[in-house]
This record gives sequence, C-alpha cells and structure tokens, in this order.
Amino acid sequence: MFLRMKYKKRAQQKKTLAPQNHDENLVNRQENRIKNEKSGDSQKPSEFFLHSVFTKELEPNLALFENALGSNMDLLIRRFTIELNDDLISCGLVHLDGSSSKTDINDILAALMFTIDQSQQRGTSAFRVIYSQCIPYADVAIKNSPREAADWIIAGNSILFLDGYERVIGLSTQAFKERAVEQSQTEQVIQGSREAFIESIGTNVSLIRKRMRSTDLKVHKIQIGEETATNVAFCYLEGIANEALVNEVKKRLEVVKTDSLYGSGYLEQFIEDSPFSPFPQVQNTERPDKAVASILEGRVAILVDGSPFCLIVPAVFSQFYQTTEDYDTRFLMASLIRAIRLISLLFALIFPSVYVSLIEYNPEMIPTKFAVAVAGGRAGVPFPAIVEIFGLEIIMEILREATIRLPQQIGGALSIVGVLVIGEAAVNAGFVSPITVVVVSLTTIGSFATPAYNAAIALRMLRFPLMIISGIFGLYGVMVGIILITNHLIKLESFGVPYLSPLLPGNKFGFFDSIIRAPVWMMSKRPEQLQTGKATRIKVNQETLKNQKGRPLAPQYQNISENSSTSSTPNDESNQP
Amino acid sequence: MTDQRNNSSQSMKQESEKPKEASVIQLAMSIGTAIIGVGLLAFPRITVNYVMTAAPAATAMAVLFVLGIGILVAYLGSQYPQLTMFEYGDQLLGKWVGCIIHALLSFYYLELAALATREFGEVVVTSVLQRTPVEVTVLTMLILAAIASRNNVFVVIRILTYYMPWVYFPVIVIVLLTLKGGNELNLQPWFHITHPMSLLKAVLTISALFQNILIAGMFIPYMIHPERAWKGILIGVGGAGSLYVILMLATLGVFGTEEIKHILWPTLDLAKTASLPVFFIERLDPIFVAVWVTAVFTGILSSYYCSIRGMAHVFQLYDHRSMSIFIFPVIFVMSLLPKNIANLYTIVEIVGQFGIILTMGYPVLLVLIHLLKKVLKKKKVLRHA
Repeated sequence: MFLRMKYKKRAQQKKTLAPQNHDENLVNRQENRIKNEKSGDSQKPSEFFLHSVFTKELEPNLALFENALGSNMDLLIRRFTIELNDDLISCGLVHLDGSSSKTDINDILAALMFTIDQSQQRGTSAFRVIYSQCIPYADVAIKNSPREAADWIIAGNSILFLDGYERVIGLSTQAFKERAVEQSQTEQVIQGSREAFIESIGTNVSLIRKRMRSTDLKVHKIQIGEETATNVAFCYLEGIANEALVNEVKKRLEVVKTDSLYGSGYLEQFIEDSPFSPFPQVQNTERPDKAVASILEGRVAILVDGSPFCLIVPAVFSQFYQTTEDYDTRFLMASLIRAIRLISLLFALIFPSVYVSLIEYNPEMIPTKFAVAVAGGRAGVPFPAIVEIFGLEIIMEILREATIRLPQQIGGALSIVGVLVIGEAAVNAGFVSPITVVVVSLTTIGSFATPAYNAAIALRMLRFPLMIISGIFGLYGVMVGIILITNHLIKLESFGVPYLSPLLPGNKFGFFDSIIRAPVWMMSKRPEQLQTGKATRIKVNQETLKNQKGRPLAPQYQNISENSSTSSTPNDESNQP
Repeated sequence: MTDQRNNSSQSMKQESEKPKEASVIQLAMSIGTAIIGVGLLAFPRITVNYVMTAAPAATAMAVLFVLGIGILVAYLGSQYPQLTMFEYGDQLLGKWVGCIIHALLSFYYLELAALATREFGEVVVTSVLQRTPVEVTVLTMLILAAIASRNNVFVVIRILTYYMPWVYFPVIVIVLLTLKGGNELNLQPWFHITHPMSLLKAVLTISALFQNILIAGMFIPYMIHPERAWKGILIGVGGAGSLYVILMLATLGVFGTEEIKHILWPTLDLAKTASLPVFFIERLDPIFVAVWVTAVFTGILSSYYCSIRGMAHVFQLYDHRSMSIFIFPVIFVMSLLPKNIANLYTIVEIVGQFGIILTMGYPVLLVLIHLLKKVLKKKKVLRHA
C-alpha cells in the first residue's frame, strides 16, 4: 500500500515518455478500433501481421494487436506504468485469458511495478535492464516483429510492450489446461509402469526424459499445420538411431503441408510407406516406457501436441503382438504368452474360413461322429455355411462397434444381451447352428487378444474376403488368400525395413525377440534391421553372470568343499567370510 | 525405390552397381524352394515307368548331375559378380546369339510355368474341387504368380525364402506318417537297369524338375558375397534333391513298382494313406493339397520370374513389371493348350527331356566360352610379353 502511494505521488512530478492525457488516450484507442473495423474485413489477422512492423511508440504497437485480435473475447491488454532510474515508462502486457497462467503474470507484474523502482540497477538502456535484470522469470524471449509476437500470444504466452522500443519481450506464460498423467486405457498391463502419455507435448517429453536421462536423447521440434500450428517433436538417441533414418523422418515430416493436424493418427497417414496397405506401418503407443524402449532400440518416436499417442517408426509386424510386459515377465512365460497371442491372431484371421471349407468342401476330414453332430445342428438352418457365418460375423462386428460407443455401464449389459441372448435365440429359432456361434465367438475373442488395436483391426477385416474366397474354393481358396496376404506382408516395408524382419530376412538376435522372447541377457544386440550405430546393448554375458552369483547361505558342508575347489576364481572372493 | 535400383540391370553397362542384400542362407533357401514344384506329385510314376526299382538311384544320379550344373552357375556368378546371367550371357555369346538364346530360354520358362499351372489345376480339380472348371484354378494360380513376380528381386528372394518350411515340412510329415506302411522288399533290387537309354531318360526327366536352378543366376549379383554363392547353391540343390530322393523311396516303398504305375499322382496317394490315429482330423490329404499350393506357387513364380526377366532383357525394357501383365494372357492360353491329363503328361515329358538340353546346356556353354576366352587372353598376354 505504501509503495503504491509513493508511486502515485511521484507520478505527477516526473516527465514521462507516455502520453499524459488519459482522455486523449481513450479517444485514440477508440479511433484505432474503428479504423480496424473498417479495414479488418479486407485483411485476415495473419496477413495483417505479416505486413506490419513495430514502431517506437507504445500505443500504436498495442493498437496493432487490438485491431487484429481485439475482437476475440479472451484477448486481454493490461496497460501500466513502471518507474526505472527516475523515468516513467508506459508498458502494456498482452495475453490470452485462460490459456496463460494468471499467477505467473501477476508475479511478473508485481516484480515490474513494485520492486523495480526500489532497485538500483543501471544499464545501457531501459529495455536491457528490464529484460536482463528485472524480470524474475525463466523463459523469456525478445520478439522483433508483430508476426512473431502474434504467434507467441496465440500459443498462450504473453508479450510485454515497452514504450520507446521497437522490440517486445515475450514471456512464456503458456498454461493450457491439461489433465493429469493417468493410467493407460488402451494398453493395460499387469506388471509394469502405469503411466500413459497425455495431450500435452511438454509433459510427454518430460515423461520420456524421466525414464532416459541421457544427454544423447535429442528432441527436435517441427511445427505442422498452417492453421493449427501443431508442435510435433521427434525423439531419438544420437549415435544409436541410424542417421539416415533420422534424416528421412525429418524429411517426411517437413513435406507435410496441411491446414490442420488433428492428432498422431492423422500425421501417421502422411508419413507411412504404403497408404493402401491394410497393415499399419507405424506403431502408435500410449505408453512412455514403450516409447523409451523403442528409442533405445534405435527407432524414432514422434510426439504430436494434443494427442496422447506417440508414433514409433520404423515398425515391423512382430511389434504388434509384443507388449512392454513381455520384458518384465520371466522369459519362458513371456514366450508362451507371445505364442498364445500369435495363435489368437491366426484364429482371428482364418478360423471362420477354415470352418466354412471343412463344412462345405471337405466334410470327410471331420471325424464321423462329430460330422453327424454338426449336420444335426445345421439341419434346420436355411442358409449355406458361408452365408450363415458371414452374417453372424457382421452382426458381431456391429455389436462390437456399438459397445465401444456406449457408456461403459450400458456397454457391458449390451454385449451380454447381444452375445448371449441373441446368439441363444438365433440358435433356438433355427436360424444359425450352435457350432457357428462357437466359431464366431472364438474368432472374436481371438481378435481381442492382440495388444495393438490397429493391427488387430487389419486382420479382423481381412477375414471377410478370406471367408468369401473359402466359400468359393474351399481350403484351396483359403490357401490362395493366405499366400496373397503373406506376399503382401513380405513386400511391405517401413522406412526401408522389411515388415517381417527380423524373421525375414532373418538374423539371430532378431529371432530372439520375435516369435519367442529369449532371456534378456541373451538379447545382447540391438535389432539388426535398424542398422544402429552401436549394436551391443548388454555387455555382460551369461558366464560372468553365473560366476558372480555366490552362494552365501549355502549349508556349511557344501561351503567347505566349494571353498577348497573354487577359491582360486576371483569372483568368489567377495563371498567368502 | 528398389525397383529403380534393380532396373539398372537392364542397362548394358558393366559397371552398373547392384544393391547387395541377399545372404548365402537366403540363396540356399530360395533355391531349395524354387526347385520344388508341382512335379513332386507325379515324378515317382514317371521314373518308375522308365527304370522300375532303380528309380531312387536314378533320382540320386540326377541330383548329382544338377549339383554339377549348380557349381557351374556359381562359378559364372563369381566370375561376373556384378552381372545377372542374361547380362554376362550377352557378353560371352555376343549380342545376336545371346538374344536368340535368351528369347528361347524365356519362352521355355514361360511354357514350364504354364505346364506347372495346368498340372496343379488338374490336381485341384481332380482331388478337391470336382465341380470347378480347370480354367478357374489355373487362372487363380496364374494371378498369384503374376502379382508376386511384379516385385523386385529382393522381395522375390524373400518370398521364396519364406515358403521354404511350408514346402518341406509337409513332405517330411507325410513320409514319417507313412513309414509303417513301407516294405523294404519293394525297393529291391536297388540298381536294376533294364536299358541304359531308359536310365538316361529317367535321369533327364528328374533333372528337368530342377530347371528353376537358373534363377540363381538372377540372384547371385544381388548377394552380399557373390563368391560364396556355391555354398548356397549346393545346400539348396542338395536339400531339394534329398527331398526328392526321400519321397521316391517312400512312394516306392509303400506302393511298389506295379501299383505306382497305375497311380496318377503317387505322392498325393501317399498323403491319403497317412493318418493320425489320435487326432481330430480324419484325413490329411486335403490339408496337404492346400499346403502344397505354396510349393506350386513358388515353383510357378520362379519360372514366371525367370521368363519375364529374360524377356525384359531381350526387349531392353527398363522394368520387368510391365512384362508380367503383357504375357499374362499368353501364358494363360499356353496352359490351356493340352487337351487332357494324358496329353498334358506326354507334353510335360517331351518338354522336360528336350528343354533340359537348353537349360542345363546353357551354363555349360557359357563356362566353356568363358574358359576359352580366358585362355586366349592369357596367350595374348604371353605373346605380347
């Protein structure tokens, strides 16, 4: 209070650079606004800023922004005066309400308006003094043109105008509302980290940094989208990620010229290799630990502001049935679980078509007793097997799609109603045979066991053409369809990496982490297909690991005999009393 | 991207750098797959018709003969590590002779692909899809091969490599399942030659099954180590050869000479005798026919690919992909030319026995000319010195 009084008293005495007459000032502003409204229709703000320059006067500078952006309800301009070295300087602070942090702005204003006139700082110019000595704020930048300043404001930051200078000070007060880091919804694990990415790119980068404190981690920013100006960051480990790959990622991102970027899935479509393939060639994940593991393998992770999904390139097919949990589980169990996922993938793809061909073309393969049972079940069914199963599969897809859209509480109920009641009723009505219902349910369950949603959807959709071809040609047709799909998979590449690698073309260390998941200490090399700068990632081998494991609690009689036999090995020394 | 790289092979420049990606194992596996084709189903009958119980011995002799040819192909590949077979063929034979021989070879491979397609079409129509016209099955197989042959050479190698287990595994399973039905007496006497001419014919007919080996000449310049190609070729031909020998022994052991002569596709009937006592599925042969689609597909793909690469070379085309569509109707008509199965097998045997002179003689001819040129060069150098 006292300070404020002091300021008021002195304000009358000092000569100032700012216009004295407040009424005059008001009139000026109104004139400016009227001028703007006349000319504003002809020019968009973005073009307007492109052609305008800062002047030395405060009011015209502020008017620039008031004219162009003043019609927005959230634009706030705060005019105030500060005292520095016995001079009064008029200032203006422009920011967007809601997008910027009020607390930060208040702190800055307090520093400028209260403390500045007590300080004894001296400098070449008032601008330099304020910029380098008086703003107690970490992230500031000098902006030289209205265009830069406008971009800065629109991003939720604020701009400090000083009377008498053609430059302005940008304060990074950006504080878009964001949700807290929560548990991953689409990729849940039992063992392992729970954190998931959120919509803010800054937080996402920090989630990655938190897990990888390496100076070699590079995070490059690119802005994509002429209107949305979305921040896109790609992260990689320098020295490990292949340089050509990083350059290619950068090139592909730079050529994306679009109005808007909605999210990572939108970006994925611009950078993928074969847009017409049903298979995803870019992996997307919600989990920071997965992203970090991929970066460590030598891949590049792409983060998009506003999307909680991170893109990982290059992607190979085996990635789509792997989870981070595999590496947290002991290898034997992890390998078995992986095998189960592979089987379920295959189930989701071919089970209905194999069923159709067995029933329609090769009933002699089924054991007689069972064939009779099947025939009995299908006795009253009016359709051929292909029509029956095709219809039921489509109904199943509709049910699945419907349950996704429904609120969670109703969704569960609907799926029970749909699957149990409709299925049971259809069988009772003689519309479908019970075995068909079993086959369709197994297929659907199989498609749920795939961790990656986008890969599962590809196989789910491909089973329809496969069903049709099996209805026409039987097992022969199924095989022809599978060969077509396989050839396509073999041909597919993601950033030059064959899609079926590391199995095809094969290499030993790649094989350790594709169909099976070998013990972690065995996977001592990074995937060869990524052509990383540093291949070795685990330096210890199994022999040393074994030797280092002492037996401190072994029963005494064993210990004696062992001491006498192995005392010569250096590794055991530490274990001896 | 890689397509453009491969197309450099069409330019006649010697220095044209080819990308190197394929490994020795890939070469071995892809050759092993390329050699196994639809001939697998009928060859025990044809061989037994010629040499009776000496059929396994004749098969082994044919394998040895083809191994020798394979070594020649590998030698040529190591002498011209940057060039495909057609390119160094042009260099050695001269442009005009080379052109004629390459055109003949391409056409011959086209005929091979057509016959293989027709043969399998008949198998499918006879054994599983009785009411389907053979044109339809032929068309589906041809479409499969034509689409796959449009890929660049690395993808073709990868495709052939991938199907290796699919081709070999079912055969081994069949043989294991039918072992108990075999009778050693059926195989004896081991080496009983009725007539030397028939032995020669049998060896030639079996060698004709291996004709896709020339695809190695297309693959070697794309290998990381072309000089190690001989290993890959030996393993590939050896693997396929032992598969044929095992199959020959199994069919002969189970059926005996007299029965085999009356079975159109002895291997398929072998599959029919196979059964798993405690298993859900009662008959296995439809599964084997289905899985053999892969073997047939890879065989047709290899011939088709050899053919269109050869034609693209003869016509100096930048890209072999367009060729694939262009000859599609031709091969379709060619595959429908035989009137029936009997007619088909007459043609297959004639084409096999005479074509063998072309396909197996070609590398021999090239090696001879190459050695001759080498000797002449040496003499020239000596004379100058």
